[in-house]
Amino acid sequence: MPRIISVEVVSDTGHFTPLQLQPRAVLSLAFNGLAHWLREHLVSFPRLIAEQRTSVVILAAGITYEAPCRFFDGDGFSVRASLQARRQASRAELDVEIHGPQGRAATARILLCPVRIEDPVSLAASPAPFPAPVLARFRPDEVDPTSPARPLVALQEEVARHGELLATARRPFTLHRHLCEVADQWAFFEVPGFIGASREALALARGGDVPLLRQAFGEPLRRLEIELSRPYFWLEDGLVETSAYRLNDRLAMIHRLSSNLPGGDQHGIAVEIF
Amino acid sequence: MKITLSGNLLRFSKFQREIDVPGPTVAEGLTRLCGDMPQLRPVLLDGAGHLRKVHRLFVNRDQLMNDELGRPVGEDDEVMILTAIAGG
Repeated sequence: MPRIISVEVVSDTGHFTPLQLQPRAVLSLAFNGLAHWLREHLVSFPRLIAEQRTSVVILAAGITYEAPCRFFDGDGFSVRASLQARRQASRAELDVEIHGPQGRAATARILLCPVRIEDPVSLAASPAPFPAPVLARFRPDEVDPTSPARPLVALQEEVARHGELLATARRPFTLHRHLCEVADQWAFFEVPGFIGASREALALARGGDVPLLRQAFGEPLRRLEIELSRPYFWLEDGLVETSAYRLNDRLAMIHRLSSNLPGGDQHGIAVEIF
Repeated sequence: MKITLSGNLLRFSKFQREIDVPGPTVAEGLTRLCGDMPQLRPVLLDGAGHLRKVHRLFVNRDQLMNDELGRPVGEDDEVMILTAIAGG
């Protein structure tokens, strides 16, 4: 069984909406779980980059909410994370469970692509499997040669095929530094904020004539899937294009992240199910 | 030519995003840019003086391969340098 680290988190008000753990907080805590796992079982994140010239970029992330976990339910919750190298070490999968006072509150899965740091100053990098000294620190049951699943594809297809399109919206954003990580590249756990702003703007604008859109304000998010294909960097402009659907009398959203940068305009896709 | 830098490169250009650089070719422009801003040189170029493969270069939005840096450019042409990914 892959090794698991467990981290106790004391609740603060910023972790939560009135309804549930913030999706941004779940992804951020999950990523911090990776940092804990690396430090305990591999090598600390800073040393992984500085000494092994290896890091990871995020290709996909997903959250499935389960038991209720609200701010006043208890004093805290635990984050349990495990990591596996996948597909000849050219991918890694982080599995995270968040346990609150009422049981497992959410699971999160983050798909990582190992990269080799080509320039230690700018941290510019290119995809490369984990180097042998790093891979050797995984246990045999933490190395899986198979390719990871892509749950977003099936979910997006289900929403687009079986859902009823209700409304669409476009919302631009600029990647300021508070949304970036150490390399002045976007922090993936900010994606729920970008798409959430677009979703709420759409619900505000059209919730009068499409009441189901207001479900986005009052119902907890049940599932989020994200796939990322290209990063944004500091001060770049992006666009969220949101399509809202009715799916089995629930609200579903497909968000497309794009930009006007040359070389392909798609940066990612996200699907939310309420 | 006007050279536009990706966000993670701005630390090395004194936070200038768009820089006018004289030069008859893209390669000459890069050389002058790195001469004017020496901190950029090791970030953009490898030890042999070639553009690092982690960066993508566009002239008026058309991607240029590394063996095409001799392409002539005029003062109104826009050269954009984007970093593909960073391992932060």
